[in-house]
Amino acid sequence: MKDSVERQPQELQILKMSKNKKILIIEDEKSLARALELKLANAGLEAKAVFNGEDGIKLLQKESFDLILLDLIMPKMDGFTVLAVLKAKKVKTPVMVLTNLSQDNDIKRTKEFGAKEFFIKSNTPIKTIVEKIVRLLK
Amino acid sequence: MKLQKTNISASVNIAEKLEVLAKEKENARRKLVVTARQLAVTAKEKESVRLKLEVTARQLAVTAKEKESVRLKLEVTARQLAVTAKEKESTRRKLEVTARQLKRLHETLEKKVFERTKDLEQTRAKNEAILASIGDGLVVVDKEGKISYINKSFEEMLGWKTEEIIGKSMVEVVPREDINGVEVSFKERILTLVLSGQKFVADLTNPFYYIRKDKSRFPASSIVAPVILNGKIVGAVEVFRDIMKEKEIDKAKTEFVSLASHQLRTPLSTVSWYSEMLLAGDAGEVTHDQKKYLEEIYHGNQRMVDLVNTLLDVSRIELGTLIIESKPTNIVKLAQSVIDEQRLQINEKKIKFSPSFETDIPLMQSDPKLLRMVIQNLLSNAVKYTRDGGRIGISIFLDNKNNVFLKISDTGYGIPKNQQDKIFTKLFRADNVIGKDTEGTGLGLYIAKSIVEQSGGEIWFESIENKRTIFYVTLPLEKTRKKNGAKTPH
Repeated sequence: MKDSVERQPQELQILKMSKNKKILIIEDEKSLARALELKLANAGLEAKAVFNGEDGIKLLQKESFDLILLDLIMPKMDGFTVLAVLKAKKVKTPVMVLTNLSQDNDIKRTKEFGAKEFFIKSNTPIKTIVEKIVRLLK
Repeated sequence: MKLQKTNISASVNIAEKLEVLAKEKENARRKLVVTARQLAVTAKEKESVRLKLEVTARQLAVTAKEKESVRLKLEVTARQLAVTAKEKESTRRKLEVTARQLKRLHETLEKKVFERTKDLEQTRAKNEAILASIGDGLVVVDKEGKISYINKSFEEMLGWKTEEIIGKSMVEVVPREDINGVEVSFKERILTLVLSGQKFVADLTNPFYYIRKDKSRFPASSIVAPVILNGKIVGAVEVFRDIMKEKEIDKAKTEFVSLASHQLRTPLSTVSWYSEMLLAGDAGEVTHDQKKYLEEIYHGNQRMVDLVNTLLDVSRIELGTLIIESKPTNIVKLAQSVIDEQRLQINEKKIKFSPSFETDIPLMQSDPKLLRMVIQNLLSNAVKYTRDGGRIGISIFLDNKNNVFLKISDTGYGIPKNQQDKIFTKLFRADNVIGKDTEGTGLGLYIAKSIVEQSGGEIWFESIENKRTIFYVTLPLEKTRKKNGAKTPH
């Protein structure tokens, strides 16, 4: 872990290649949404954050994004519903689930709804998440 | 001559006179003889009378003696009678006393019997109330399996009334289905097995369905115990429970665990990500000291994350919400990845590490995620509890019965002999390592054992304190027993 958080310069270079890609963060925990925004911005990626599923769906109707980072437990509309709506609306934007739920059933459900990735936030360094995003956006 | 003549006349006179006298004398003599004879007769008579009298006297004497003896006897008898009378009196008195005592005793007894009867009645009523009010269904059967008692919960749960079911065969009247809905045959019914002495007490771990009078069913679990009198089975008691509620509670628990984990992990994520970003220089350069402090924060937080993960694993194993997804798994590859993960600590502690894997171990049917947890727990323990410069070995091979054998040995602190039986207990940590290592949770071996046993395998160990510990795991090559996310039937 210690050495994994120190390799920032290389990471930045990789990320700079993914310029002009837009990422939507749907996350009710503002400090975490902010951390993601900052990290992605530092990596040269444009990110917008909304704090519940409903606002996320609304924004998706107005703007197009290259990737959605989606929390599951949220007020107004939870992540499962967002996935269901996206599936129903045939939105093809890849979704990466970032949650602190880790039950097998939760993981299975999001995969069934078409989520591409599933990360448990407390167990995953933010660097790993950004790396994964870059790979997905390539 | 004249004289003569006179003399002669005188003499003749005298002679004549003498003759008369003689005659008279003769007469008298005769008379006397007669008299004498008479006297003799009289004497004889007298003698006879005397003799008779003597006899009589003797007889009388005898009679007298007899009389005396009789009298004496009578006297004795009289005395005896007197004594008997006294005794009788005393006995009578004693009897009177005894009678009184008996009466008192009788009264006491009566009172006691009354009290005991009351006690018994109370106990009976209490027992009746207990049995009736028990939330679980209860049925008592005789040695033929005929119902002799059911409680209120039985009536409510199965829809049968006491009067409809008493004397009938429990197994016939109340059918049982297994988890897959297949009716359990008479011979296989637990009650039958218990009554025939083939099984002593059936446990609660195998849920099934009971079929109600109206043919509907409910999930249940039961305990059956034989009633034994003088070493013979004279009947059985079955207690069963509707586990619908438990299933609901299970679900509520699962939801709670899920929610709690989410709530706990959110602040942990914040600390983790922000300290990580600071360390990565996302908010500008940090000094050497700042970096050291941040690393402490990051590491402490990481431990908390690990703890939450472990607790979640435990609750999932206990709730049975772990979905075992068996697939062909390469155990050697899995072990290699665990070793890679631990490599840093192994190197830091300068541990002599010797892996040994049999070359052609086939893919095994197993859930890699769970199998990994087993290897990871055992290996990290070996690393944690071995002194710097110690030795650790890990080997995987096949035994002749198509089992995969995993052996992890170390030359570490060991497990004290008196605590070896507790080592797999949840939250248990041996005395000798508590002071040395503060990072253990007492959950690793508990988790490993739970997984191994759920997978149809076995785990055991040998350990000598301060010398070595070897953990052994065997797992069936063929398949991990399918356990579909819940311990209760669907």
